[in-house]
Amino acid sequence: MAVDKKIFLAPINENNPITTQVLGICSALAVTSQLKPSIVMGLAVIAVVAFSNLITSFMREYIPQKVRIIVEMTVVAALVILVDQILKAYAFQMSKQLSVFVGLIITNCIVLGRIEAFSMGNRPVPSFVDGLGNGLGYALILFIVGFFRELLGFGKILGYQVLPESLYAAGYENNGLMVLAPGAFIILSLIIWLQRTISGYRED
Amino acid sequence: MRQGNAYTLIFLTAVALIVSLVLALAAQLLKDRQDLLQQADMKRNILIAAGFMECYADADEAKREMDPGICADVHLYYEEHMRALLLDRDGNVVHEPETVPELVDPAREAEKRPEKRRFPVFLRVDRIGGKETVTAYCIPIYGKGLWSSLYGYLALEPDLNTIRGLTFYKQGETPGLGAEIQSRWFQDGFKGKTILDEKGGLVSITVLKGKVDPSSPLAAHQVDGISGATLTTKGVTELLMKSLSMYEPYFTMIRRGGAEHGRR
Repeated sequence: MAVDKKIFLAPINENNPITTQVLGICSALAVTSQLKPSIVMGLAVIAVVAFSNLITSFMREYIPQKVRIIVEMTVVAALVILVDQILKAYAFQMSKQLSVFVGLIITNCIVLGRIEAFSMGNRPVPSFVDGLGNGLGYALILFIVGFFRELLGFGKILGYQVLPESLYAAGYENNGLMVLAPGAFIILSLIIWLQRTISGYRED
Repeated sequence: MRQGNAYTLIFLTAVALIVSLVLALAAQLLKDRQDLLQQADMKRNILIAAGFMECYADADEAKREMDPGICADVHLYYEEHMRALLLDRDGNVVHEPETVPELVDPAREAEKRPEKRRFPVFLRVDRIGGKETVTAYCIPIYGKGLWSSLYGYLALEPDLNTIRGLTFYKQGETPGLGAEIQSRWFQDGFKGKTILDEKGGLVSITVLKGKVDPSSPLAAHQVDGISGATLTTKGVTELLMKSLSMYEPYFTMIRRGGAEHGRR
């Protein structure tokens, strides 16, 4: 069965969950002050969205309408706990750094949004692909924001100094605003601006 | 007809059952590894505070991740160089074989009746001239930050005034802001600072908002703050004072040269 390529590609660019649908902003602001937590968070969300889409799609014809959301949240919560446990066992320092934000993936609107909008009405394979695409779209924006915040806020990438000492000697200083939430807002809105200028997308 | 109450109930029960089974299984399978990492992390933090293992103290998260080999090293090193003691609130050493000092949770202790509380101390013991000498006193520090409880260790030189090192091993502060209390530059700022004034009274260490003015008379009791994390660092200042004053009876006794360390 061929899966429409658009299901995967649309959420990465023109229908990006963060820049176009403006979902999941909370965590996009919270964990992106450095690149590495942004990447790990992105991977965690990809896993959770993809698998919660897959599982709910398998169950979609059996879930009683009345308790639909409860069942969906149970599936999402279980996956989030699983991700958290695995991080604790294999990337202990990272799980300490991400702290509450892994647990908060459960409240990330993207996850429930995709289940409600897509997987409850589609077959498992396209649902999984849709989850991958949306997770990747989210992760991509986190990556870009994290990259620029760490570069401008700390002069580093992944913890390694990239801006040369000579630049600091010449009077350059790290931008403290980038480390704070407003820095993420500014970069995020610049991305949205750039993307919408290219695509010509307009809010109705 | 899938909308009946009976069907709904059975469906939910089945979902709950399967999910709890999967999670229980995962927790059980991963528990050993998590415990190993967590304990190694704790011991490593005690060691770092006491001035060992500088190579693992780096703020660079990539270099901090530990494989099982490093964990085993940490446990070995710890057994070799650290001795743990338990104190009561008056600073007297108590012998309670059933309590493991490393596992004493300061948050739980604070809920107990004062006379029941136990305070662990970790002594760094070095062989100097063939004699075992205590070269650092390491105590747990605990308190509230902005979002979360902060756990760490503070090590003092044998004069029980100068700070040898400080670490935080558990916190839930904002990544990149409050969570920077775990970074090396912040923790290094504490080294060499003193907790007592000239008269020997406890002043602890204050984390400033901004940088320390080296010409200030209080500079020896102050460290640089973290921009964007004023409330977290305020919590650090408070918890240092609180934790240090809990150990003051013991420290005073040792400063006077009285107490012998009933070593385990």
